[in-house]
Amino acid sequence: MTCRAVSLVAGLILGLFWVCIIASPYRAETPLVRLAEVSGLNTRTVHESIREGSPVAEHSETYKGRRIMVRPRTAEATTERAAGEGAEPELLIDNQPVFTIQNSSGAYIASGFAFAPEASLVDLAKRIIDYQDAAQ
Amino acid sequence: MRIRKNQVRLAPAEGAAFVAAVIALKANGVYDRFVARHRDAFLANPNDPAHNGPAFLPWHREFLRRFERALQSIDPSVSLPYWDWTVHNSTASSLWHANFMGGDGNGPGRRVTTGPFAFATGRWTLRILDPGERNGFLMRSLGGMGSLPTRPEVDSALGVVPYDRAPWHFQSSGVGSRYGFRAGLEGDIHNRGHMWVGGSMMSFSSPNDPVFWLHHCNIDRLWAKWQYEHPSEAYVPPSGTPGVVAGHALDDPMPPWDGEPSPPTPRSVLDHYALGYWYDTDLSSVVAFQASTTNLWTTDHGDTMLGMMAGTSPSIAVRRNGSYVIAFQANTSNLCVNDGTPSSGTDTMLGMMAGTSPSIAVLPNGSYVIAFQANTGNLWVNDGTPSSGTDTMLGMMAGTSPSIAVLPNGSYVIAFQANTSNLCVNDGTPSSGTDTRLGMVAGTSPSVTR
Repeated sequence: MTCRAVSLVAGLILGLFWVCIIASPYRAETPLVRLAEVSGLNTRTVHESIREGSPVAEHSETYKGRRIMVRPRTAEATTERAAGEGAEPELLIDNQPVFTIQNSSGAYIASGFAFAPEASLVDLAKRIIDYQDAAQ
Repeated sequence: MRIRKNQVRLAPAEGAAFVAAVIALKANGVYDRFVARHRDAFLANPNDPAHNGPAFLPWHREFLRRFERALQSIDPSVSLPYWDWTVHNSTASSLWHANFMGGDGNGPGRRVTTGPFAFATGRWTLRILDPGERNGFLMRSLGGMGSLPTRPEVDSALGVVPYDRAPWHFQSSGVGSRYGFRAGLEGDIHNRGHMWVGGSMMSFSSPNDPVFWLHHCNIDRLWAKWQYEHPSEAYVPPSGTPGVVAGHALDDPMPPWDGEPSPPTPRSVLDHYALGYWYDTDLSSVVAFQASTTNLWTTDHGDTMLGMMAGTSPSIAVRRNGSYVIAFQANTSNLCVNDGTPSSGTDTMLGMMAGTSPSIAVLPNGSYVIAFQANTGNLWVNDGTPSSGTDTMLGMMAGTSPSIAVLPNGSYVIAFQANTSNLCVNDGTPSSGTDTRLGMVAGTSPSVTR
């Protein structure tokens, strides 16, 4: 009976540990991601650091050695846009914000990239990177 | 009426006039207002009045028409040319030559450095840019993203009906759109032109690249072709249809012109002839005629700028290679020959009888022969060589015209009303022929075929 209780407590502690790891907002900064960026691998790391009061999940991944991040728009960025658009996600490529807008069907287009609408900002970012690669 | 031609068929002077008018509009600030209009339509999303919906085609038809009028305020002779990318799909196409649109971009910024729109000319600085964009120079990356539409793909898109479908805000990503013709033409065909050119053409402010107008002129031409091929297919949706962005339904005033006293609607631009222009491909055949200006016109080249004698008619014949030749009585009363090229041709220096018209036929070797009533009243034959020809010595009824046709053996036959009022036939041999002894009504002309 005592052994079973100890096992249960140990299991709970281990479970809590993994929950903390998974929910950590800093998981994106793990060395694994940095290694992938350096090596140019298309390694994908999803970190669901949902911020309080925002419905937008933060997401980052590396594509062709470039860092794509989709995150809730900051208050500063929201102020620059029309009021009421605060819930829109913000796209960054290599930490540089990209102006995006949703058309009437909900697809995303971007500054300098108006004619390749994509259903997701990540896919849009990949097409932008593809173009920049090809243009080099 | 203005004719919009394929850009490869522009005479050098026409291409130069187009470029000069575009640069003049840039210099006086009008051009940038058009760029801003297009960019602002995108920035109005999700209520873009110009893209991603049924009014994509009407909005751009109105946009092009206004731009063409602005060009004509600079030079009344200018019309928008179109770029048929199913044929001229190479970075080596004459479209990109330094005397027209200029070439590809180069370097990390893909800056265009050749032609009239290169930054270094000092005449083409981009001032209207997308949010966050900073480059003031024109950029291109020809062929960097995808491929241009092919003829089979365009033919497939032209076969799609109806015009559009609910939910009225999609672009197709596959030929044979289930969302209708507009969605396929916009998504599968039009977008690829912007992406293939790349650089500035991919932006909200894409009219910064003057090739925008040639690309959209071709899109408008294809819409006109679809309208011709599907006369029973109406523009949809009607106004009042739920879920349609303002400006996209049939009788909606189209922003940003909706504040004008008589704002354009999709309905008001459905008939491009009523808007004062047509395309050189609108007819499958080529027609030569004396326009109301008395100049010689063709339906594929437009105004040849060559004056015709009042009351006379041209005659046209096609060669095996598809080129054609036109014979007509010029306003000098001389017999002249033209191949559709404006302000060019051959004056044979042979005088024609007032009020009569020549008849031309192409021989198997590609040369041609013209029959006409000379100012002596005799039937003459000419092969386009100035100051030469054959006087058949056969008198024609005043005011009548001969008709010529080539026979299978390569010879030809001419029918005409002789001065006896009888129908006669001649093969070009002087002082010979056949009098059919069939009387004709005075002043009429026969028509012959093999």
